[in-house]
Amino acid sequence: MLGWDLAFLAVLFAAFLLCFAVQMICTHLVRRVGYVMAWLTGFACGGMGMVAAQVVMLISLPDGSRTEGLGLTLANLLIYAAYNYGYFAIIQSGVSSVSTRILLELRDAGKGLTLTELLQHYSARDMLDIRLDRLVRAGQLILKDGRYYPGKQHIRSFILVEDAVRYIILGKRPRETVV
Amino acid sequence: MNVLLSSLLWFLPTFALHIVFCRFFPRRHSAANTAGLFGAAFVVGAGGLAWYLRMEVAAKIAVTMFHAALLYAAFAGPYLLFYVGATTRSPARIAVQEVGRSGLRGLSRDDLACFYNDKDFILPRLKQLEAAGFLVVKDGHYVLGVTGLRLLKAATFVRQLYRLPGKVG
Repeated sequence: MLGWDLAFLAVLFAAFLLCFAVQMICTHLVRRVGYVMAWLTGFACGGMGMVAAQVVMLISLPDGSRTEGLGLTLANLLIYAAYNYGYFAIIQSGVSSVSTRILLELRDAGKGLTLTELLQHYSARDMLDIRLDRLVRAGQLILKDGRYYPGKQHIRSFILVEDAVRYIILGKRPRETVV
Repeated sequence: MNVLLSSLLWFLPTFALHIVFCRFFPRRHSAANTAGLFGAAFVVGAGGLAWYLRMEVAAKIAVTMFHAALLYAAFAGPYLLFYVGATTRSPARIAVQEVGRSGLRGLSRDDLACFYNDKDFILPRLKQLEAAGFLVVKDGHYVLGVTGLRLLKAATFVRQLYRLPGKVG
């Protein structure tokens, strides 16, 4: 079984390489492809490649090893999805990380900034403007006559999952606010 | 199934331990502590298993254990990301949440601005960055630290690699 173990691992790493290669091709060679679409395309290509290779390997496995093979297939799928999720979080931090922005302001200032000076460069109000602009462009919020309305639902679904995790781990219900 | 079972045997007790810590010592449990807990559980689990199986048997199942370790990290990593997301105030999340709660009335920019202040969003970040050594305070001035510069180089590399749009923040 040692050989099959290694083969399943090799397929996993090949899928990561394929995923990254497709992302780079989409980003640098195909015009008008945003980073989210590039990431998604790479993720899909790597994932499909991995599934195809694993199906072939499962068919070629002897009968006694199929259960173990199925377990490795499932493990690879989970690893592939989870690592890509983490990788996307790293990419996303290059867009929206508040900490990175603060550090950038300090680097640009050269000799350092007092708190007042820093807040003149980047404050919570600036953060709000950037977020609103980004959320409207992504269709998460709709701007109409100077007011913001709910848009696409998938961020809200993500918030519900986060709230559920928060409740399970911390035992805290979501914050209730009156607008 | 060995890979799945081994990683779940590592992950589930650590997850349960983390919930116990969070419920009983909520103020002591930062994201760094969580990462440390999951890292320590991994090292203890892998070390204990290698010792229990003795070296010759452990060598035979090294590939399986490596695979299980990858899967354990696949459970722990996203869990850590969810935990950080659930325990920190995300600016985008608040905007979406509050606009969602307003329903058909919607919210203006000024309405939303009530939820954003420097005390909640900027100052905690500064404290975290200072505690992590990314920046240092000298004579009342915030100055970029050596590790902060490294982090910025990595962030700039990712931005160039994926041609990320606009200014960060």
